[in-house]
Amino acid sequence: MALLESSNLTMRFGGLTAVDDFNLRLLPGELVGLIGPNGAGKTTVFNMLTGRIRPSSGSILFHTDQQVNIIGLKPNRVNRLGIARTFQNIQLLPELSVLENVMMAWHGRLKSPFWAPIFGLPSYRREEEAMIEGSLELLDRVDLLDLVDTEAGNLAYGQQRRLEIVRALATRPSLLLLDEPAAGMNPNETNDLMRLILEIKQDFSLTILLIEHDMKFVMGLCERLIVLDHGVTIAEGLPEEIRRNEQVITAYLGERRRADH
Amino acid sequence: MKDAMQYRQARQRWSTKNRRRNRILTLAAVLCTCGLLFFANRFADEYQIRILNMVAIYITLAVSYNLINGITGQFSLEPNAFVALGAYSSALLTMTPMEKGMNFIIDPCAPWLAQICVPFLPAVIFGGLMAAFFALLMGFPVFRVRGDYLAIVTLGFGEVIRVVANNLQTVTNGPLGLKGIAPYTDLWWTWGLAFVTLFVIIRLVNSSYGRALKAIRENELAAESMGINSFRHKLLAFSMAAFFEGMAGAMLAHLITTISPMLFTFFLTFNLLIIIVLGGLGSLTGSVIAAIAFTWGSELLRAVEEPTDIFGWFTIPGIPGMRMVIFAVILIAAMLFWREGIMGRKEFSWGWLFGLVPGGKQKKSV
Ligand SMILES: Nc1ncnc2c1ncn2[C@@H]1O[C@H](COP(=O)(O)OP(=O)(O)OP(=O)(O)O)[C@@H](O)[C@H]1O
Ligand SMILES: [Mg+2]
Repeated sequence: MALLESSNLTMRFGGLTAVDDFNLRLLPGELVGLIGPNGAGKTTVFNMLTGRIRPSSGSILFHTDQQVNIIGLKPNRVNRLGIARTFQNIQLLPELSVLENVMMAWHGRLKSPFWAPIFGLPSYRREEEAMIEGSLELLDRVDLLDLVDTEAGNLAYGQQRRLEIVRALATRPSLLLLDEPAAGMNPNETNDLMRLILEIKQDFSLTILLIEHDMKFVMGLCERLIVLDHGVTIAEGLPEEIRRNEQVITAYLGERRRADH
Repeated sequence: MKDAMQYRQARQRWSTKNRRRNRILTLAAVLCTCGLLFFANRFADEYQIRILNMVAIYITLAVSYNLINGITGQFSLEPNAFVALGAYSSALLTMTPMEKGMNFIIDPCAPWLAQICVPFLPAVIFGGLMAAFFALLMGFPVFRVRGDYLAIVTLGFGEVIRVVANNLQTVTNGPLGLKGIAPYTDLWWTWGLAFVTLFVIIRLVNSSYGRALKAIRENELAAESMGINSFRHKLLAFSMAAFFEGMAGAMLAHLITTISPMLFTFFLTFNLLIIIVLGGLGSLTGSVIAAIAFTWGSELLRAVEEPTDIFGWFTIPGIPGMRMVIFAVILIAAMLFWREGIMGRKEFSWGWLFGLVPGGKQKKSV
């Protein structure tokens, strides 16, 4: 029984087929990497899995035993089902504090109706306290505790990436999608990030699908890799197999050659 | 826990439990205002009391308008429509059958309406509910579609309300309007409503719901991806704003006692837009300050519409409507050079006030 299964997922933008017949089967507890050259369609896959865009065709089932269909659900509904994501180009709330950025991710689960805080009902106050406590604990994990009052927009790049990860965690997902979490990080930060990902995967019993260009990072971290090129899945398998795969090498070399020109 | 000390400090700062001092201070401030109102009621002349009433009504309107425009970031142009709805529906409810008979001279009042007569408070609340109902009706389709339709739809709605008020002779008495509405509104009513509005909206904005509204303003993509239903929250903010604007309209109707469709043109919305931009979009404190300054200022500016005598040499004739020109210039200047307004997005807090006093303790407070 799979946690997530997509079949024949296709996304066309006008004449461009950004993702073509994408099949994905994620088992609970897996850590899978989605790689491929620029423009391969990786982010588009994430956008379809999270309800951001509606696929041209194909199906996505979450919890295959319960047959939860994701197609057509709005992003907030998908998130409430247990799929959280981070973004390739960071999407924080720059003018709100670090703590508020995490607490905001709690809101979708809030039980109190809007009049509860207005009348100061104890049930709401308990929820708010739990929210603060939980958010601080999460921030402590990623060493942002001393920055809780800082505006998120003023954080360093690596800190913003970590904040996005804990914000996604605050929605209590079972599946976490990370879009280039190590982009723009130095080798030290990248190492810390690898440790963090393994840690949270363990502690929150997560299944993780991640996109990353840093090969060392991907090969060191992922149990299984899927390679996209021009929207087509060209290879799938263990990191060592992918490393030796001719087609993959050509796809990446092709890109490098294109970049050289 | 890696950093027990830091954790405890942050926990302490953000806890909801240590807000008691602030609550007492706020209560004291409200009581002081009430004391001042008491004196005003006793000793101020009619003109001054009218300005004080208008200040309170404008505070109510500006704070509610800012909830949807500034806090939630959904640009709308609706207040005149909701004020009109609140004013008309409450006035029609409080008028006695006899008063209605005297008003509706062209066409008689619709029979289902003619016999209705209720006390002031239920009429005010009904005025607010009417506005909120229409806000829901409008918000439902508008917030479903993406894009900036809200401004256009609300602008159009304001005109529709005016046209309907002009033509629905048997209900609104058409262009003649309603005269002799009972002057129930006094300082206690207007300021009472202003305080209730402030209380409700501040509590909402400082809660998890307020964070969700701000999240939608700052980054709707992120908000939705983190599980926030932006559609429902926009509807909430919009209809709550409409509710208070409708009640402010009811206050207005029973203050000036004569209403007609002419009264609820776009100028009202325009004035409020100036107030919330000058105060700072997204700052409730700024809206309060700007509402007071604007109401007062526009009274002072009456001078420019009157003939001015310069040293007895020559006289500048008064130009009616000159105030509006000045307001427009102020709005354009603020939009161009002073986008932050008075407060930006900052809010007043007692902690900030104590921070100003040398030796005062700085303490985070909401
Ligand atoms: N909303 C959209 N409308 C039109 N075209 C799009 C849209 N989103 C993506 N595309 C196109 O689809 C293709 C795949 O884009 P995508 O962002 O998924 O690539 P990617 O694999 O994430 O690349 P990168 O590594 O650069 O992030 C690109 O050619 C892109 O221009
Ligand atoms: Mg991408």
